[in-house]
Amino acid sequence: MTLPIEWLNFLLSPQAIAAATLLIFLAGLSEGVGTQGVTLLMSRITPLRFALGLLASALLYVLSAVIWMWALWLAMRALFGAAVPLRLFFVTVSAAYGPLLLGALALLPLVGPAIRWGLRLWSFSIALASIVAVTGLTHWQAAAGALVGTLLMEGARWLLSEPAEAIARRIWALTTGKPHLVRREELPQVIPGYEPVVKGER
Amino acid sequence: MITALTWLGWALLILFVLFAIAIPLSVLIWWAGWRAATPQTRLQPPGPPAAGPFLVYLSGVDDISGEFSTPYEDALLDVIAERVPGLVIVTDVFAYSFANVGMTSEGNLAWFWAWLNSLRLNKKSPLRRVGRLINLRNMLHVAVSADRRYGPIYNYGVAEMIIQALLRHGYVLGSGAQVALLGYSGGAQIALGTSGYIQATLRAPVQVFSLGGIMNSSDSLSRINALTHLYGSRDRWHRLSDLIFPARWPIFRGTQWNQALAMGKIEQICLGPMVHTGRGSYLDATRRVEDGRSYLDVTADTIAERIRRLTPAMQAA
Repeated sequence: MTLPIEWLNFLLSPQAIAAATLLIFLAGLSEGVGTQGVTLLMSRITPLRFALGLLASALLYVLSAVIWMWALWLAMRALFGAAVPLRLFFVTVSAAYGPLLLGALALLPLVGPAIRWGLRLWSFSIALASIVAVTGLTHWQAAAGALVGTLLMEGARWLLSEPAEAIARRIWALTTGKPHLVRREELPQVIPGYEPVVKGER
Repeated sequence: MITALTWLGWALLILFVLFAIAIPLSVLIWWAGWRAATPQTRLQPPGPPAAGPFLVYLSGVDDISGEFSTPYEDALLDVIAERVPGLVIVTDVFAYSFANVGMTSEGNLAWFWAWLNSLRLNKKSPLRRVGRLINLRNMLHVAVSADRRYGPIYNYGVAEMIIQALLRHGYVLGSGAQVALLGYSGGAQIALGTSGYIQATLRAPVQVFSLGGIMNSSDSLSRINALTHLYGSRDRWHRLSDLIFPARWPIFRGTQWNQALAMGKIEQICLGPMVHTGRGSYLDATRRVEDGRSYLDVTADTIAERIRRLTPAMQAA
């Protein structure tokens, strides 16, 4: 462990946990605005349901972040015997969500998606640096552990994909009031009110 | 001093980012129905019927409203009209607003755009270059139109405005009269983006002309009859599209753009040694090519010939 004792005490405090959770929630909200926000507005929902949709997506984001960090912690522990308290690991690695506070920049026309990937890479590099700092592992070990942890989470997601999808659909329908999200391909091609009336057609 | 400049730079960057995000957001908010329709988006009574064909002109990124045009643009359209009998020219569409609202009528910012416009038109003003902010604002609209997330919605909105303008100019629904869209520079992106909706709605032949245009690949390419990209050998701006839009890179053969190119639906014609704007541009009536025609005549001839080609009655003649 390379962290000074004062830092350690702070990182283990309930305030640090709350701050880390708030950071992830805000990152989720910002990412939600940048990605989910477009889909929500495209689905023509009301402002209230839009806010509910974003809130639900931010909460799900926090949940998935907690599961991901837990999977990383398990992988580090099982592969390299890293004995770090889960709380400390969570608070430290949550710093990786800092760059994602700028996730709403994905809304920028044309360059938005590239910025989103850039922020994710930045976030991943902070996650690796945080793991190295908190566990004392090498960068390669941290990267291998992060890969295994991510695969573990993706595996669990794949196993539970059907019920998870059903729950996600339910949450979507509850918050937005629409049965499913509107994809780009489903947008109308003909502008109603101007099409010529052709005999034999309704 | 350096700190103050740095802070100013950051403030301007943040302001620009916020403004750039506000444009697609306003489009999405309009689409979601959170904002009431503007007077321009309500259908106005149609004009006296005309047989057409119809040519809709969408200006470049220095445009500020559907009413604003330069004498050079007017001259080009007049020459094209002389060469195509019965051609109805539509110019009252502002390509950089999904609701056809000119910048000088644009809510709280109307005074700001009017002020910028007066600055750029005043040749003696030291702040003349600040007027380029108008171009920047319109470039962001081009980016929104070219973006795969927002483009379908933005282009849908402008397409409706174009159809309304066609009706005002006497287009008869169901007549099957040809609609040609001519977009200059950034206007070409809007012309191409909207053309698919116009074709699907009117069920009439639609072709697009790009004059030194900057445009992304578009789903419209599968619907329209033809896209003719006209460029000058000294126009550097039009080449930007090949670089900034990956869907136009030759390695992605499955994109609409590359498929349309392979099918011969996209024709790319070098008109001569024209530059993008100003002296020596496509609208220059003083400079001449080897056969003695002015640059403006070369541009007008090429467009007029293709409009006639797609009009059955003129083909027979």
